[in-house]
Amino acid sequence: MKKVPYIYFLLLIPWLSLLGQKPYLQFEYYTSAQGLSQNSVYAIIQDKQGFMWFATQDGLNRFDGYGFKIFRNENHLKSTASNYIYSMAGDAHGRIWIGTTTGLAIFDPKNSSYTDVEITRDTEINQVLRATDGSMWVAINKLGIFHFSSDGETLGHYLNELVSPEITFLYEDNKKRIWAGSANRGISIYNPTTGTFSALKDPALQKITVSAIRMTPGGEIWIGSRQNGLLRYRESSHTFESVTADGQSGLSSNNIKYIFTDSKKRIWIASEEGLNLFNEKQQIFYNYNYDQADPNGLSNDDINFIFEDRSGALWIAMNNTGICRYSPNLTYFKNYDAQSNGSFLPSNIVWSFYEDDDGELLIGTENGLTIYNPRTRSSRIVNTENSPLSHNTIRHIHKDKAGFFWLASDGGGLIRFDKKTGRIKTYLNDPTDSTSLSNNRLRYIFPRDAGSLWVATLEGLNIFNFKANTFKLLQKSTSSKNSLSDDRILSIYQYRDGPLFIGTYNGLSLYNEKTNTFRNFHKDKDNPSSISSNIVISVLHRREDPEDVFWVGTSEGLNRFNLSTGEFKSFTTRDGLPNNIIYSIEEDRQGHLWMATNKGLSQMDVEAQHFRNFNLKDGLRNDEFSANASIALKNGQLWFGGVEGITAFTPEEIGINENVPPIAITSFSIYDKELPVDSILAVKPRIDLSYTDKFFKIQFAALEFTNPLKNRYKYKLEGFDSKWIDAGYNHSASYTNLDGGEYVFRVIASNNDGVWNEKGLEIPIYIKPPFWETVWFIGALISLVLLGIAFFVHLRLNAIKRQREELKEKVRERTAELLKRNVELKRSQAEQKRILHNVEEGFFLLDSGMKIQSAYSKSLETILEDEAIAERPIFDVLAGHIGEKEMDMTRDYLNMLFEDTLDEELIASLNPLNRIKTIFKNVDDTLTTKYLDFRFKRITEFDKISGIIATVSDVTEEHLLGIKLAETEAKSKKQMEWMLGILHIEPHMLIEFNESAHRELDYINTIMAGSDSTADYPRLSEQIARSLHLIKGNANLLNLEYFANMVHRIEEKSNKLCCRSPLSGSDFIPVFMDLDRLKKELNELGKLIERMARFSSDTSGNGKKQGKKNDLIHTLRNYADKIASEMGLRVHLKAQAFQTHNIPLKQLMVLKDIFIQLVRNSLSHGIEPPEERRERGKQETGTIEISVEKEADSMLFIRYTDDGRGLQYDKIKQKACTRTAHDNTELEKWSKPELAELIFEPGFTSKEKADMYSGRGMGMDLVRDRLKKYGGGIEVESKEGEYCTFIIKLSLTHRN
Amino acid sequence: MVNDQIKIMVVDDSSIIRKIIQRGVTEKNYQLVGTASNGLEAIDLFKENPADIVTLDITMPEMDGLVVLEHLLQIKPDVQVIVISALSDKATAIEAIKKGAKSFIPKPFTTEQVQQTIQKLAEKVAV
Repeated sequence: MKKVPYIYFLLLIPWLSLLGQKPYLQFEYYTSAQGLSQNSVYAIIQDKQGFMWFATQDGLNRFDGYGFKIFRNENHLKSTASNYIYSMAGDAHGRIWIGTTTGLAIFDPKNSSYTDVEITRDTEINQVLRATDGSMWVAINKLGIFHFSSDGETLGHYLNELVSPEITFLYEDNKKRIWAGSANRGISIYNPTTGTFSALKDPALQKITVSAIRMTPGGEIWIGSRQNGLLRYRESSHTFESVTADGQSGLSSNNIKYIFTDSKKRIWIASEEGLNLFNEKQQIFYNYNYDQADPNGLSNDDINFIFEDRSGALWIAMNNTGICRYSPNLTYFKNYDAQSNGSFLPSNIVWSFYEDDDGELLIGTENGLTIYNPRTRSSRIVNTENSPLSHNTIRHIHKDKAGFFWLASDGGGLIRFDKKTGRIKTYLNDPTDSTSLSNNRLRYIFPRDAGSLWVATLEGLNIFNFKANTFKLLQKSTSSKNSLSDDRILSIYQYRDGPLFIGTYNGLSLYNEKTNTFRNFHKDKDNPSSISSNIVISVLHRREDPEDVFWVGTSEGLNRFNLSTGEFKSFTTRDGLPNNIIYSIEEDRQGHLWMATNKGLSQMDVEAQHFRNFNLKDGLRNDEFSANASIALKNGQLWFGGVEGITAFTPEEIGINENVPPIAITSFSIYDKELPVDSILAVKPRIDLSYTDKFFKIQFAALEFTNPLKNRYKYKLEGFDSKWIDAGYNHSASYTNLDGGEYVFRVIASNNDGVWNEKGLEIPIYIKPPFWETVWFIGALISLVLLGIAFFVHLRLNAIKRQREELKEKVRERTAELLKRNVELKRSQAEQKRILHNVEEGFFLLDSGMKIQSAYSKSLETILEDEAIAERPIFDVLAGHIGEKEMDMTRDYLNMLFEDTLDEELIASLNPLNRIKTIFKNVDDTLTTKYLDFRFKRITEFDKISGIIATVSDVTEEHLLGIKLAETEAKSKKQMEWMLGILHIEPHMLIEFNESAHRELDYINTIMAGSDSTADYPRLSEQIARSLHLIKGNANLLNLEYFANMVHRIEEKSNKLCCRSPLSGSDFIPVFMDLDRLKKELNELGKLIERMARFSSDTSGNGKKQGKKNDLIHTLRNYADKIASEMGLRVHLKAQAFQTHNIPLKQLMVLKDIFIQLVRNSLSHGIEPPEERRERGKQETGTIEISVEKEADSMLFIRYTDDGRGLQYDKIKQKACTRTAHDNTELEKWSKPELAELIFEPGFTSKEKADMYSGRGMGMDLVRDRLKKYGGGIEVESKEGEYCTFIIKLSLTHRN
Repeated sequence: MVNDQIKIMVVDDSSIIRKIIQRGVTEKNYQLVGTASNGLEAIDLFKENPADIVTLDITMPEMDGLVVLEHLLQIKPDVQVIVISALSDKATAIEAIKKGAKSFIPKPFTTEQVQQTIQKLAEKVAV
C-alpha cells in the first residue's frame, strides 16, 4: 500500500536534487538504556538554565547531556498527581506544571516537591499550555478549559462557552489567541481582547478529532487530526484544504500527533507512521521512517512530540522508544560497513578506491573488489570465488587509457580487469623468467606512458610494458647512492611532469626519468629540515600551493616538502594532529587538507596551520584508517577506508557550532550524599560545609546538546587551586580535606567545537573551621601576647646590639685613620703639627718608661682636662681619674704590651681602659663622669717594642646611650620574666601567695595603727622583719624572683632599723613607702591572677581543696591533667607500682619537686598532641608511669617514663650550639648518650622559648644536684619517637 | 717535635667546652693526657702525668683557676697554660698572665681559635 508512492518518490529524486534535497537526518538515541525513566515520551521542554525535561508515562526526566535525573511523585499524601504525564509547561517561577492522569500538579525542581492544583484533582489532563502572558491554560478531559495565573490562582473556567467540553488540543497563535480543538465539534478560539471564546465551525472540522494545531510561517493554520490527516486552514478566505496520506502529498500517515515549526521555518509533522518534513516549494512531504539499514535513522515510526532546543537541535519524543535527537550543527559522517543491511561492502577492511567516469565506484577490500553505483545503490562483487581473481586483497586500483582496470593485489600479482566484460588477466612472478613481475605482493600502480605502467611491489619497482608483456625491475643498489632508497614501496605519486615520488619503508625516493637517477631523502636527527620519518606513506600536491611544494605523510607526522630547497617542515601531534601516523592525504574543495590517521581524521587549514580533529565522539564509526585508502569524489565528498568500513562526508557541510553553552551544576555531593544546591543557593549566598565534610564532589554540565560528549570544561576552586584545571571532557571535580575558610568554585565550558562560555558559573563555598580552632583561639591569643612581648624585647636587643656595633665600628675607623696619619706624620713635621692640632681624638706616644711623649694631639688636653701632660708617666696623668683597681690593671696591661711574648691581638681584648669610667673635678668642685676609650698599639723597631701609640676618645655620650638602652632591655626582660614566671605557677598557689602576703601587710598595718609610743617600735620592727621574711620565703618557693628581690631590698632596709635605738617614727617612713609599693605590686598580681582565672576553667576553688587533701600522686595527677588539658594534650599518669608510705617525708618532698619538673618536661617536650600520636600509631592518650624499680640497701630506684617523643637530639644540639656559640659540626660527632647528658648542664632547656609550663622550674641540673645531696642521682634513657625514661636514685636514710 | 709528642690537658667544668677543646686537640693529633672537670682533679692528673700545654678554665666551682694555675706552675714551671675565661673578666685574665699563664682564650671561642693558640704555644714547647 505504501510501496507505490515510495517508488514514485524515489523516481523524483534526480529532479528534486536540483531543487533541494531531502536532508539526511542522523539521530542520537536516548532510551531507558541511557537512564530514561520510561520509553514513551509525551512532552519535552527546556528550562531557564538549559536542562532538558522529558515527560513520560512514568515520571519526569531531567537531562544534562550525560545522564537523566528522574523525578517521580512518591508521596501521594501531599499530591495525588500520578507519574503518567501527558503534557507539561514551565512557568515563570521555574516550576513545571504537569498534566497527569489524575490531575494537574506543579513540580518545583528546587526541592523536588509536587503541589496539586486542587480544583483539578482526580481529573484527566489533556493539555497544559503556557500562554505568552505567563498564564496557564489547561484542557481537562470532558471538563473544558481552566485558566490559571502562574501562581495557581484560577482566572477562569470555560465549559459551556466552548464548542465541546472535550477539548483535545490547545494552541496559542501569534495574535495571542487560544485555539481549543475538540473532537468532532470544531474549534473554540479565545480572543484575549474580549475575553471570550468564539466558535470556528466547518463541515471539514465536524468529522475530525483535533490532535494538533499550528500556525505556519506562511500564515496558515494547520490542523492535525486523528485518523483524518491534515487540514490547511486559510483564515482570510476561510477555506480548508485537506491533505491526506494519499501518496501525492507525501504525508506518511493520517494519524497526526503533532505539528511543529522550527527556527529555520521548516514544518515538521509527527505521525503514527513516521516523521514528515514539509517542502514548501514542492508542497510535498519528505518522510523519515525507521530503516533497518540505516543505523542512524529514526528508532521507531510512532512519534508523539517534537521540540527544538536553544542550540537548534531537534528532539523527537517517541512512543515506546525514548527520544531521538537530531543536531543540525553536528558534523555528519556517513559510515558504510559490511554489516549493514544491503551493504555494498564485502569486508570492513577497505584498501582502495576508484571513481569511474560513469559514476560507479570501484572499491578494493580485504575480501575482493566491489563495484558500487551510488545512484542506484546497487553493487556487484568480484572475488576469488565468483571470478578468476587471483587474490581478494586489492591494495590499489588504476584505470588505463584503454579503459582497463589494473588491480594491485597483495599476493596475487598484477591483475587486469575489464569492468564491462568481467574478464580478468593476471600477471604473476615467474622465478624462471627475469622479465616477469618481480614479486606478487603489489602496493601501487601508476601510469608511466602510453605503453607502460609503474608497478610498485614489496621487492622493488617494475616498469611494466603491457604491449610487450615484460617487466623491468628497478631496485635498491648498495653500490649506488642514486638508486631506489628501499625496495619495499608504499606509494607512487607524480605531479605533472615532475619527478616520481616513491614512498618506501626507508625514505622518500625522487626518480628523474630523464637522468634515470633517484634522489633520496632520509630522516636526519641532526637536521631539523629533514623528513620526519623514513616510512613514507603518502604524497599530495595541493592545488593552491606553489609547484614545488608537496605534502608528505609519514609514520611520524605530516611534512611540507619544498622540492627546490629539499627542505621538510614537519607537523606532529604537538602542532595539533590527533596522531602522527598519516595514512593518506586528500584535499577538499576549499583547499583544506584531510588526513586519515591512526586516531581519527584531521582537517588542516593550511594557511592558518590549524588542525581540527574528528574522532569517534564526532560520530566516526572508524578511527583507524588504511594506508592510501582514500578518494576525493567528483561531487566533493571525501571517502576514507579503514578497518571498520568507509567514512564518507562532504567537507563543506561541516560547520562550526557557534552556540555558547550555558553551564549548570548538576550535582553536589558530600561523600555520596547529595546536597540540594539549587534550593540552598535560592535562600543563601553560599554553600556552607563543615570541617568534617572531608570529601565533596561537584558535577557540572554545559547544557549544549549538539554533541554533549565533546563539551569541555575547566574549573578552579578559588582559595585552593592557583590555576584553572583543564578537566577535558570530564564534568566533575572532587576535593578532599580542605581547610576551613571561604572558597569560590568556578567552572567554564565549551561546546563541541571549542566555543567557550568564558563567564562560566561560580558557587561560593564556606567551610566552617574545626571547633577546636575557635576554642583554642583564646589560648593562641595568650601565646601571641607573650610572643609579642618576646618579639618586642628581641627587637630592642637587636637594636641595641646594632647600635653598639656601630659605635665600635666608628672607633675602629677613627683609630685606623689616626694610625695612618701617624705614618704620614713621620714624613712631615709641619704636617704633624697641623694634624696634632686639629685631630679630634686624643693621640699620644708612650715610651718604655710609660711616659707620654711631647708630640701629642691638642685634643688630649681637652679630653684629660690637663695641660701639663708632656713627659709625664701616663699613670700620673690618670691618677685620681680612675679607680685603684683599674690603675693596677692598666699598669699590668701596659707592661704586658712591652713584652713581646703575648700576642698583640689577644692582648687587645684585655685592655682595661677600653671605655673606662673616669671622674674629673670641675672648677666648682663638683664631679663630672666621663667615659674614655683608650686604644693601644705597639710600635716595633728592629724587632723590639720601642713604644706604644695610644688614642683616646670621649665616648660618654655613646656610653650613656648604650646604658640607657641596656637598662630598657633589662627592664623589658624582667617584665617578661615576671609575667612568664607567674603564668607558670598554678593559679591557686598564686592566690594563696597573694592572700597571705596581703594578710601580712594588713597585720603590719594593724600593729602600726596601734603603735603610738616608741615602746611599740621594736615590736613593729620585729613584726615587719618576720612578715617580710615570710613573704620572701613564699615568693622564693614559687620562684617569684621579682617579689623575692623586692622584699629582700625592703628587708635590708628594715633590718637596719633593728640595730638603731632608739627608734623614732620617722625611721619607718622609707620602709612604709616600700611596703606600700609592694602592696601595689601585689594588687597588680591579684588582677593578673583574676584575668588568668577567666581563661582557666579550673579556678581557685576546687584546685585548692584537692591540692591540700591529696597525696603526692594525686597532686601530680591533677597537675598533669591540668597542664595537659590546657596544652591540648591527653595524658594518663600511672603510679600503681609506686607506694609512698615507706618513703620519709623529706625524701617525698624532694621527689615531689622532681616529679613536677619531670611532668612539666614530659608535657612540654615529650607527649605529642593527640593527632600527632594517632599519626604515629600511638594511643591518643599519652602515658606517664612512675614505678619503684627496686629498693636495695636503703636506696630507692624510681623509674619515671613517658611514651612521648623521647629526647630530641637535634633540638639538644641546636640548643647546645646557641648556648656556647660553637658550630654544629662539633656536636654532630657526639653519641646520643653524650648528647643526653647535656640536659643536665646548668640552665639547659631544649624548648625554644620559655612557655607557660616549661623553661622555668628548677631545671634538670638542679634535679641532679638535689638528688646528689641525698646521695642519689638521675640518669636518662630515651628512644627518639618512643619514650623517655629517667631512673631516679635516692637514699632513704640520707640526712641532708 | 711532632704534635703527637706534645701532651695536652684540658681543665673545664663544662662538658661541652671540654669536648670542644678535646676535639680540637685530637684533630691536630696532639697527645691528650687527660681532662678534668675541677681543680683538684686537674692537679692530681697533672701530678701523675704533667702536660706540656694546659687549657684552664679560670672560673670553676671547686677551686679557683688562679690557684690551680699556681699549683701547676709549681709542679712544672715551664708548663704552657692557656687560660679560658669570660671576656668580661679581664682582671682575672690579666692576673693569670701576671702569674705565668702564657695565653688566654676568651669565651665564646671556636675550635680554630683553640687550635691556633695551642699551635703557637706548641712551637715554644718544641723550641
